[in-house]
Amino acid sequence: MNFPFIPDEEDRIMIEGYMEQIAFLILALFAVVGGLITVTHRHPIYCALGLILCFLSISGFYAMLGAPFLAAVQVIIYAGSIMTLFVFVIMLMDLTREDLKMPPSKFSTVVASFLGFVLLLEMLMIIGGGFLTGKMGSWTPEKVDSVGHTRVLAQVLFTEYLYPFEIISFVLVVALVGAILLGKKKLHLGGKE
Amino acid sequence: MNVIQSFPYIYPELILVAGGLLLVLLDLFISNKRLLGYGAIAVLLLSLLPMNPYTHGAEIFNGMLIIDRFSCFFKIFTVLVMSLIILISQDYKSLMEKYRGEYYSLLVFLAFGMMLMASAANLLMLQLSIELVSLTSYLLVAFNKKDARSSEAALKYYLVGVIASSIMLYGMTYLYGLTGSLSFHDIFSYFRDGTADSVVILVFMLMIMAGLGFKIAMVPFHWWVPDAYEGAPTPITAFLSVGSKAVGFAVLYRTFMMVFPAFYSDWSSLLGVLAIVTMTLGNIVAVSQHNLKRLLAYSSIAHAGYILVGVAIGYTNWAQEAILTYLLTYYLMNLGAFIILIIVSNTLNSDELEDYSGLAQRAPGLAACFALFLLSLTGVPPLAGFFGKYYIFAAAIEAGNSNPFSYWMAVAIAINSVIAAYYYFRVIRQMYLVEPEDMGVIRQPLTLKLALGLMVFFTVTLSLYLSPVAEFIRQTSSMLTWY
Repeated sequence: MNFPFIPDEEDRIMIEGYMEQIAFLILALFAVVGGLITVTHRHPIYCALGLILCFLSISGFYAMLGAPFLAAVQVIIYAGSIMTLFVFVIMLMDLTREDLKMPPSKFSTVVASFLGFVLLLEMLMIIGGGFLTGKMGSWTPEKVDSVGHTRVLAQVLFTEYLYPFEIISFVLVVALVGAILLGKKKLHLGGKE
Repeated sequence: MNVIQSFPYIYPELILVAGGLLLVLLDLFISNKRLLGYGAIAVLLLSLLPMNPYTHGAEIFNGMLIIDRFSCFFKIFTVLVMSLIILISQDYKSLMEKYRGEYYSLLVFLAFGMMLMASAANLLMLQLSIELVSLTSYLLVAFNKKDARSSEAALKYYLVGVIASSIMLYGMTYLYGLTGSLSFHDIFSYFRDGTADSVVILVFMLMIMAGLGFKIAMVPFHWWVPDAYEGAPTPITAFLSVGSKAVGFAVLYRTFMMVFPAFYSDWSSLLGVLAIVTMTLGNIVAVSQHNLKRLLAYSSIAHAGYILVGVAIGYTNWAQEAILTYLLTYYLMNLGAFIILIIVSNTLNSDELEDYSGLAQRAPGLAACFALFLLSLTGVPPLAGFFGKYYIFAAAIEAGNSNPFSYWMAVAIAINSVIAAYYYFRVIRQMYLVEPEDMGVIRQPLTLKLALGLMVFFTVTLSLYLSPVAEFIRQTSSMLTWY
């Protein structure tokens, strides 16, 4: 290697490949650690924080896969609002130290580990057997790149998936009505009774 | 069919959505909530108008939904169930007067969700529609805010429901990963052409079965049933046992028939075993129940087992007809039984079996109707329930060896009918042979009497004159759109 080192095109691709691998490994490490904290820690607040770590690393994966919009949505919706909701719920549960000391039942640990192991085997089988062997959609990565990621998402969402999209809004209406109904504290606000 | 072309096919759904939202709005101005209830019934009946039960089938919204005779049957069924539920809620005492407007509009939204479920032909649509129905059901179960049992029931129902639905979603993501598509049609053709690893697919199938099994209260996903049924307001219990179960069966049948025909031998024998276990467990546990709501809860698990026999047999015309006939007769007799429960609990504030002692002397008409429904639920020959059971039985026998368990299922139905007779007759005995403790008058409001009259009339009419209904069902029997 000559000095000073001036990378040519070949080197650049190689270095980028290394960088990507390193970034992937770091993100994967954080995702796995976050997941482990979520399932193993006794205190629900730490579990929630672990889950946030996991979500953030996953948003990093999205960014690496060339889906910046999804990455942003992942951060804003999952790591942001949903986790805030979780933390609020945990706060409202009003856990005492005694609640947290309750040991997990042996039986459920054994059963859960067994089922988790079965699921792991299953996943390995699928990955070994060739994942995504089905029909590919019409939106190949090249086509998505040429149109623009967010634009493609919008186009598909408001044409092909328009009806499910509207249904989601309807589910939200029902949830809203229900939340108001169940959340109202006083039954007779300003009423005659 | 693209979005614009699809609109004429969803007029019933649009009517329901518009009507439901209008009810929410009108609730602000109208203080007589009874009117809103009748308005909700009118909206539901109005949505019947654009339906065509003899439609030739169309895939709308780029294959998201399928409009065929099968889905149309369930849409009509939905309207029948929901309008009756609203009618019997009118005079159900335990509902808070102030929130009745929301209650009726939620029931209309529920009908909308059920219609979507009946015609979903895409995994995404399936999940969303089930989510809509489940979410509304949780709310309605919790509707008696003042009653701790109601909240407890809703919480249990919710937790089990969320777990079941996330397991199903997980299975769906794998199906999507494997096949690259969410639409039933694409997944079906992938399985038909490709050499998919059947062990792997079996696990996905199990996951989806878990989610749908929760909706139809199939063993082992039945744990929520007794508590949710007992705690929920009685009209909602009636809905859970008939409406939610019927569309659950529609979805189960359609999904397995359309997506997994390549794995018929696997799922049919699995469902066959589950059917036998479900009906046996439901019936045996029902024997020891003293609360009538719990008794009917376990009996509804047992009935789910009978209908599951039809699904397990699958592709024969007999099986399809049997499922629809059974659901129709089950609708009549089971809702009838719940109407009696509402009338009695309005006066006595109790669903315990002891409080039904001597009902024949206190309210002879009521006791006679209840006896009729219970006999029909048992499957005593001239009554409607008998025909439902007969069809299922015949379908099992006719299927022969296409399902390895078909004869076993037939035997199980026979044995279980005998077990069921024991606890149904116990209720009749309590009403007729035990002396009443007090002779207080049982108030029978007009709307409940009307609903009861309708149910009795159709139970008797169907017993004597089943052929036009059977003919209609046979006509719609080539109903499921096949690929």
